[in-house]
Amino acid sequence: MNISAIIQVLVEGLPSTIFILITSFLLSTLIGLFILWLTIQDDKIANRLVHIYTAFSRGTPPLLMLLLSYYELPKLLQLIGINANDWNKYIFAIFGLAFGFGGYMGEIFRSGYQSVDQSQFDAAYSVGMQKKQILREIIFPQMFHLSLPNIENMFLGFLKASSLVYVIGIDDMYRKATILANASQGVFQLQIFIVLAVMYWLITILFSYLFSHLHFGKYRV
Amino acid sequence: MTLLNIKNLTKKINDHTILNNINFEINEGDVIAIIGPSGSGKTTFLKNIIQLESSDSGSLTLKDRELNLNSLNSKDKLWLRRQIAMVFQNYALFKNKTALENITEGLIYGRGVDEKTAHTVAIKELQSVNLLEKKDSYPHELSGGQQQRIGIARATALNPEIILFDEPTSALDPELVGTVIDDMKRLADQKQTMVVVTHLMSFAQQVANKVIFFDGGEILASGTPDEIFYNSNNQRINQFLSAVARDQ
Amino acid sequence: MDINFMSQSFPKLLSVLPITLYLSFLGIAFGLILAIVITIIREKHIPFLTTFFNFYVSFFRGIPIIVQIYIVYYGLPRLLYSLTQHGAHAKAITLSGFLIGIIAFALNASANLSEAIKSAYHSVDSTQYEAAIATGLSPFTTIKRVIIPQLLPNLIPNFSNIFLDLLKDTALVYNIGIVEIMGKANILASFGFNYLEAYLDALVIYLVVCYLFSNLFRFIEKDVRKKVFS
Repeated sequence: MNISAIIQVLVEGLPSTIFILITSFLLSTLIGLFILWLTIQDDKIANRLVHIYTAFSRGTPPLLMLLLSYYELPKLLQLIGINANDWNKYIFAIFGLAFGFGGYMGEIFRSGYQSVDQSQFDAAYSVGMQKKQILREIIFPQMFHLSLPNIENMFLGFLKASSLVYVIGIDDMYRKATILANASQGVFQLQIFIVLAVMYWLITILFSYLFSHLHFGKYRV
Repeated sequence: MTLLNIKNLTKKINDHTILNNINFEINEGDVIAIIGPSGSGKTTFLKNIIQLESSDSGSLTLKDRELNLNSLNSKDKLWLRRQIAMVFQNYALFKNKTALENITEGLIYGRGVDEKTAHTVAIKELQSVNLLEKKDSYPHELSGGQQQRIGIARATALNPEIILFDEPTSALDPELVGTVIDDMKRLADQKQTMVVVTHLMSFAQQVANKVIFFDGGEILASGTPDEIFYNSNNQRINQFLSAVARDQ
Repeated sequence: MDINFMSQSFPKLLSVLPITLYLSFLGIAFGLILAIVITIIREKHIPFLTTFFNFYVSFFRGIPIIVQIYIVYYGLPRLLYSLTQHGAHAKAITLSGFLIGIIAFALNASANLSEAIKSAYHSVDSTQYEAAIATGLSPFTTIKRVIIPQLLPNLIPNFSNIFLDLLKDTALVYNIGIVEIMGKANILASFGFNYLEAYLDALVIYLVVCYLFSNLFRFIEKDVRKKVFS
């Protein structure tokens, strides 16, 4: 079995991998921003909840995030009267990863926010600006600038975690590889997985390159 | 004419009194220098004037409007900050905005000025501090002295009643201090009301018309520069002044 | 939900926790040793090796851990076999899944730890080295007594993250036949299809273990920071 044949099969799973990567990343970013908003409110109960959620994110293996999403979510939805038994598997995969890693995303935005110099706030208040304007014009742009390396790391983390959706039977690039490996009766397994590894690696390099050209303005924070 | 009158300002943190019953009056056109040892509460006092830090008690009267300092709502704070501007020790320019934008930000969002007018005013301010060619530069591309002068321009553009200066030259290399002091002297000549926390006794002697000595969260003495520097009977002040003289 | 099942399975899952921990400890330990060597090579700019290890780090950080596990699983026996062809031990070497798991984790950890050590090393002020040399200390002593103590506090948080990630990744090795927590959970659940209950039990164990370790690392970091900087 030559390499191009292997690649042809694996590439069939690529759209799936990319789709899960992008949607779960975006959803997780929204969750992270929500956590940031909660932190800004400076409410004791909200902070406690954020703390618990973050600990949950840090302590759950990604595999379990997916498995629990698949088995748990339908039961939870049933409690509020929604029948999720026929839902598309992708929904569980995306929700599982997004919600599972949301604590990390929140942590990244929180620490980026807290890294912005307090004097930026002072100066903005001193010229008569109001909190919403200050956050939008001054703080959030600097926060994103500071968080970008960590966001990039998380994005690549989602790429790697996407390989685990095989456990709920989604045909992503990884699953294509395992199916192929089993079909070839164990003879070409090593080649298949090495080709798969190289493909993931190339995707990683591509996105790293794209991220390095992503900058929010020519300023340095 | 009394512009600002602060009575009985007190601030405590966990039983520790940072500001103890401060009474402070500013007249139009005053240039008041605040001197004193580090940690005496000078910066906290300035920040309390525009409520960048909260107060526990006291009253503030600005332009005949009296405010109770422990029950201010955000509208009151906004009103305060639109009459009084501040220049910071570490310049605190908005890092993600150009020099020009640093000045227009406050005008557009803090004063509701339209963009075109804000732009014109900002250009004029940059011209008066001789930094027009740097209008599109970001703070990280500018020297400390340049940043601070833009910080001053940012404050003056707002045409405030009073400008507060929190140790404006402390973070600067010695050779850049002169240019900033020149800008401040120019403002004093234009009769801008100023309150300046400073370590530079030369500034206090030459430019200020009133000097206040702060120590341990209290005003120990206030008077003209002559009274404080040459004729003071207060042992603490003389102790402080001779220690400073040794350094300068 | 079968609470009875949950309370009965819990101790059974707990009984395989040591396997998870052994995998994690051994993986991180060997990974750390490798990482130190790799980082030294990367920093010293040795012609071929530095480039090789830069790729090595980029590679192992850029592919999913499950793929790495399978590459070692399929690849290592073949590698050893081809080594025996060239005169090494003629005995057939059987590799347990456990050993393969440790090797895969060690390789992965070595790449992540190398990046972490590198960043902690660069976070130490460069003038520290110059000042120490100027005082007459040898390069070796400088590294040992001045540089390393200062990079440790910055290394510990990253080390903690890498260790915990590794611990959570052990959940995947049931695929190559090791019976750790997830493997046991799947086995127990397969009888009555109590997957949800078994997974919830497993989740609790992972959460508690991760929480305890992360607090431990935070305590160690505070302690080391105090000892080094005061």
